[in-house]
Amino acid sequence: MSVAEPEVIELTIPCRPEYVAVARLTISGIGNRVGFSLDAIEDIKLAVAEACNNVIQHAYEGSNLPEEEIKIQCTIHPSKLDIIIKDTGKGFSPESIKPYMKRAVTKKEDERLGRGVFLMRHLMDEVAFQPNQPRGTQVHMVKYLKR
Amino acid sequence: MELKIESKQVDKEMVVIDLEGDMDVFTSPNLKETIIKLLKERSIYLLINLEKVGYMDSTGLGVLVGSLKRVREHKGEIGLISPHPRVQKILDITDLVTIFKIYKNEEEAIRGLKEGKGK
Repeated sequence: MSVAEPEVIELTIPCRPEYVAVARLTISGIGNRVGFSLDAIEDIKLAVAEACNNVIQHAYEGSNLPEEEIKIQCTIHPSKLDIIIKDTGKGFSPESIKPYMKRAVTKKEDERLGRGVFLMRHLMDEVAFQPNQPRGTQVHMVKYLKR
Repeated sequence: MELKIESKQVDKEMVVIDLEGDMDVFTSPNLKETIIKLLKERSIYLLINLEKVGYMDSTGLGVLVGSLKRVREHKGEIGLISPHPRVQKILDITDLVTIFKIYKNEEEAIRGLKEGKGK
């Protein structure tokens, strides 16, 4: 299919592990609509899930998770899918995760953040972390449609 | 999607764990609990069948890596059986293929881990 103007789809899920599968299913449908291959859709699903996992595991430490939310915004362009995942958690310095963007974490169980970030970077064409306003973090990911 | 976990004892120390479903942030903790329980029962050679696991995220990978660390502390080992192509891809790109023993099928895995016992 071809889409002339960008279309925006927004999904808000509770910040709980059992809802990450809902985000995956939604992304799968969007990826299919854009025209990605099955393999590319699986890549996008995993990258979005890793971003959600990071929010669940790290963004709201010490707070009441059932009251928190994760916002996922997908913008469909003719040649790419833009995804922004936002939380309003404690936030962190984007500099602190730069090392994980470049190398795989293999042996340490407690470096789940690193492994998830590495997967996101590997599976998507672009990944950028930045502070969300007024608080929290935004992850911006892009996957290009390869025709 | 749920993760079905079934384990069958091969011998006193060896167990095959058949998995079916998704290994994600919601389901992986159950597998972690199962493996900790097996370790307490002195099963230190674990064969984890991934043929029917079509999806695995970093939480699932973390459970596998953590379990490997635990069994090796007890001089045991983990073998992965026939990872689904998607899971194999994740193991490849995270370089975890270098730390796990991976087998084509259950028979080969049992033979492989038995030959490696005590080494």
